[in-house]
Amino acid sequence: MMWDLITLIRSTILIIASILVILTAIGIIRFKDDRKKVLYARIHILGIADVACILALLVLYEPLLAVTYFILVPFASHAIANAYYYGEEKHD
Amino acid sequence: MFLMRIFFGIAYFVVLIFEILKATMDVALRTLNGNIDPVVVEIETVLKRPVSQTILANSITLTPGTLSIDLDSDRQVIKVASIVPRKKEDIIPFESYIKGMLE
Repeated sequence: MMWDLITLIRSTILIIASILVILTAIGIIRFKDDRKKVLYARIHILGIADVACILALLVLYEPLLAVTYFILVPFASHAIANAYYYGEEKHD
Repeated sequence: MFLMRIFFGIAYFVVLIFEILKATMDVALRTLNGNIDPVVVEIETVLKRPVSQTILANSITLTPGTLSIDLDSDRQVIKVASIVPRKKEDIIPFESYIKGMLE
């Protein structure tokens, strides 16, 4: 059967992941530099893309890559935020 | 009790997955609405071991909408950037599970 249950669930999760990626792109472009502390907001919004990527990797039968991504994601976000907070440039 | 630690570990993982999905929906809706107000707050933890503090900071960063900037291990204080001002219990709902798992 082509329309079995697992195929339907996989397709649904992949569609949800792609919608999340589109929302991330909209959010990154939408918030301009005139807001306060907009870099943190951008990192928060990029977190949605990470969740979408983990969902897609799990559905595409790559559980080891998904677990590696799940463990390694926070380090990059934390590095960017820490460098911005303690950076040399003046900001609010 | 070793079995209680395993139980708390499984409960922590389930709660973490649930919080990640909930926060993903929340931040996606805020992306469409446009009502964001990023703030940097300091929250105090009750965890004492550096391992559990690191796991707490990683869980905070893994949840969309909250982001750990710095960890002061001696004063037990984590600097957290949040997308809207929130209460402490909403930022770290999994702290008690980590305490039961590792402390």
